[in-house]
Amino acid sequence: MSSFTENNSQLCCEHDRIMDILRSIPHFSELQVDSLKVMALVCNHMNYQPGANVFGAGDIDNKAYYIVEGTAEVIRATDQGEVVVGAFAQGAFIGALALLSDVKRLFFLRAKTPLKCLIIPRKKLSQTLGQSGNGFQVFLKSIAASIVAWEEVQLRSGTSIKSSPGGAGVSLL
Amino acid sequence: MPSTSEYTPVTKKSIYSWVFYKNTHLQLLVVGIILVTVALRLIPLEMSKRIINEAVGMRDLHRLYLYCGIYIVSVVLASVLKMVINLLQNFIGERTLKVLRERLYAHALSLPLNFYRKTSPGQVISYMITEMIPVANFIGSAVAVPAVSLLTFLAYFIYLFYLNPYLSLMAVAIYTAEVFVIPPIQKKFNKANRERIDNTQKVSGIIGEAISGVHEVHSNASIPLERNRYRRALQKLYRSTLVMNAYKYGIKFSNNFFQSLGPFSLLLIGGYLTIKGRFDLGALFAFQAAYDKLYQPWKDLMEFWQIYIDSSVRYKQVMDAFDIEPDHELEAKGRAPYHLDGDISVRHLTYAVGSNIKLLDDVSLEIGEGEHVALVGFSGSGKSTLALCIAQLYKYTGGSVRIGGHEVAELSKQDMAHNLGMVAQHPFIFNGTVWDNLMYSCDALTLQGGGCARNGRPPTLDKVIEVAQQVGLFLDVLSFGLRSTIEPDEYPDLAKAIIHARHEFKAEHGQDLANDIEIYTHDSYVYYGSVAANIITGAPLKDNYNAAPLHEWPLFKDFLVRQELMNPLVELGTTLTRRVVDIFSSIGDVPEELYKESPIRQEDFEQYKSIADHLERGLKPTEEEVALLLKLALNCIPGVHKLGSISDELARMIVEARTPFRKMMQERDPLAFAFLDEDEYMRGRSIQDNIVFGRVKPDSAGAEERINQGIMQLLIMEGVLEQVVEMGFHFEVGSMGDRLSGGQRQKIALARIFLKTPHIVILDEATAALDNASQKRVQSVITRKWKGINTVVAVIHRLDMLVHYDRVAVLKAGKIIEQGTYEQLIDKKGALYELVYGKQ
Repeated sequence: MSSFTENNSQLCCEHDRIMDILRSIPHFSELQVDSLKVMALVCNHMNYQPGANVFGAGDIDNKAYYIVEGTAEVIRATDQGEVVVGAFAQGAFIGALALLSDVKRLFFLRAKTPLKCLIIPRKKLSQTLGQSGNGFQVFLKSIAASIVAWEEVQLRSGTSIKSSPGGAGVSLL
Repeated sequence: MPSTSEYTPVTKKSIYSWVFYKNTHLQLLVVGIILVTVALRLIPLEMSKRIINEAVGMRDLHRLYLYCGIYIVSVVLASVLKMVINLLQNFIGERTLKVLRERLYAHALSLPLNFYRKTSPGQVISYMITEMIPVANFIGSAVAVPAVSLLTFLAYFIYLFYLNPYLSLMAVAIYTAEVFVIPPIQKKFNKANRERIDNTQKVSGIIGEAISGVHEVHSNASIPLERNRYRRALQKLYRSTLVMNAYKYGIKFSNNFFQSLGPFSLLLIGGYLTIKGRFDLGALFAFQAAYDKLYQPWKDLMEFWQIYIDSSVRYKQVMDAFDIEPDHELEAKGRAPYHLDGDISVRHLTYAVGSNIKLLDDVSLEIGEGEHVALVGFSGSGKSTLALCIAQLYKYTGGSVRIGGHEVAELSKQDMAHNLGMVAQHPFIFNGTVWDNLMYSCDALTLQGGGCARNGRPPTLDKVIEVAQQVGLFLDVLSFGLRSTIEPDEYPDLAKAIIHARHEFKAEHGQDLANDIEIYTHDSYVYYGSVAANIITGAPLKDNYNAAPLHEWPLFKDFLVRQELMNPLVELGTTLTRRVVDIFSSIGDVPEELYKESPIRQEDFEQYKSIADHLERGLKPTEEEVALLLKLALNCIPGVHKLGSISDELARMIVEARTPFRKMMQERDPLAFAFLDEDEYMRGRSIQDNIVFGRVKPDSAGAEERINQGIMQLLIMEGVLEQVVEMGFHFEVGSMGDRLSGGQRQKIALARIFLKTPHIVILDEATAALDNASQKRVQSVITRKWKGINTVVAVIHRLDMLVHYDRVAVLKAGKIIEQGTYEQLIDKKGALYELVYGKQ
């Protein structure tokens, strides 16, 4: 093989890089490789300059995000001004619920450093995964499982569930 | 003056009524021509008799020529007239089909929304298009075919009777016998055919099931078991097919038998009579010829009967499907449309569906003229249903809704169009331009005798731009405009202004927007451009270079070989082909969306699939295949196509090839290409590309907005902003507006209503798809423009908008549970308080 396309057959093009990221995200790890390949085609990278919003509070969103590089802050707008309530760094997968249905964002997600995200859009995803076997069902299961797992961790670590909606756990929603 | 039949609903008309619907004179003309044709058809028979008896028998050459002459003239004339009959028949059929489809479509669109819950668009399309074709054929031929067949049959029979009554009765007896013998066999054939179809389906079912469950089959090693099941079903299919074919050949045999029985009896008896001198030879010959001709009209008549049965069934099926009355009159009959006052009175309103499920239950609400009222509640509370009942989209089942004192159920659609406008939660955008979609409500109103502007004219460009700014659509339209490509020769002033803006842009924004743009330079590879564009760095000026695709152009191919680019590019094409085919083959039906991510176009996919298949089997690609691989590589845009990638080495070689290419072209054909030049307009590139002299990076968040803001200022200074925005209004939105975002679709719907400015406005979560800032802006325009003047009923999803409304009605389970001003309800700490602040 010549030097020009040597990289192509190994790992070099954008598609392969996205595939690698998707395979590292637990929500998608059970998907078949064929489904992942299709999915990688519809996901895109996006670069944000420091201070730019990935999404804003009140936005109706239909995309999930994976942080490839940089850090992002989670900000809540209150009457007293903006409060930083958390941060996500490289490797974080954010907002998967929006892959099930439009979700109202309650926080701002803002680039703290130059930020590179992989964007996973629901519309294209359901169109393409709908075509390939039970891809979407596998994904639905993993979302439900991740919500229950999250609460389990909360309970084990002794975090009070009193603050949860209706006084009961999120998994009972 | 239209006849009364115009007012009979199309679904109530019988299929026969169309035969003469506006066609009576044509059908009479057809009958007239048929009579002449039938008469002409008898002449050849009589002539052949005379030729044998009088010319040949008497050895009279003169008569031979005369009779032959008459023979040929009558044959030609009869054929010409038959063609005229066919043309008329076709004309009547197609014209009626057009009228039928028009009236059926208008009727279908007027049917209540409920109808379309049960009927899919595909079904309506099939009713309107496919099912109507045989019906039209029947209508066209309803007079002509039976008339031609019956008259021809009768004429031949009379002629036969005139030649010999006994023989003619015998001939007809044979046809009558056929009627008794063939239909029973046909019936048995039909039954056998149905059985065969059932059995075929069973066999297909077994195959499908076994293949879907092949895991189970393998894990149970049940191949013999499945084979037995399959064999049994196959045996049944085999038997039923044999039986069906036996009946089929039985019908064929009977047909042939009766066909031959005629001439046989004729020759036996006719020959006997001729020998005995009771029948002459010419008559026998003519009789034989006429008898043969009896068959065709007979067959035509049988076929016509089949068409009749088939098309009446289809017609009835279609008309039954649409046989529903529209809920409301379409037009205000015998009066001008009402100009309604803006007060709305809802009293004891009930809307029940299905088995008395009340979506609205005894709802009462009084809204004054110019008042802005918000409807809130959880989903399923009936707030949208209430809005849709007021807007006449649902026909309420009890109580009353009055607008300006008039009962909504009794108003016509035309009255509603003149007084009311609505923005739906998921507005529908039609295929066409942004402009067409903005004008949709105005155009509809103009056709109904109204108009959006005071003078009855369509809104001006300035007005539309103003509205676009109010709903926040202006920047979107500008960016559509900036994406358009222009011919600099057609717009010399605009091109000049754009080049000027290019220099200004570089001076003003060059530094701060450097991360957002990939600038075109002579010595760096452009990742957001195709490989071909990277080599030629320009656009062809002459048509012959446009027409010949680069991969087929020998000069260009030689050039690539000389630059040692041919092999690496074909290799790139090979890699792309393998990867795309690998991914797309794993999914059944590749959605159109995915092709946008691939350098292979949808229509070319099968070709590349077969190339990939050849490569997989280790075959050497043919010359044609190599050309296709090269084409793919040349079209690859690494910044867009994720499967393509250009190594640094290849990028360097491509950049190095630019100067030799330019040199080669300047030597061979200096005026063939316009090469990249900072002082020239770049052909084939968008206005935006031309101003930034590069490509806006699609992976830089917010880049396009930042750049367009800068460009807008420059276009204002150059005095060409309006021209570019106008181009943006002509942007094609795609089927169902799929090239627009949800927000853009909603902004267009809002702009429609702002342009129409109806007296009463119904908003059904009309700003739900907008971002926070746009939502606030639109709400403030609504409040500022319409409060106290135009009545607004708004279903509100985002509760922070409620402060802008005069009154709020809270719905729960189809009832209004509280209403009042926002402050009153919050102070009351009731249902609204709970909605806003949650359960305490």
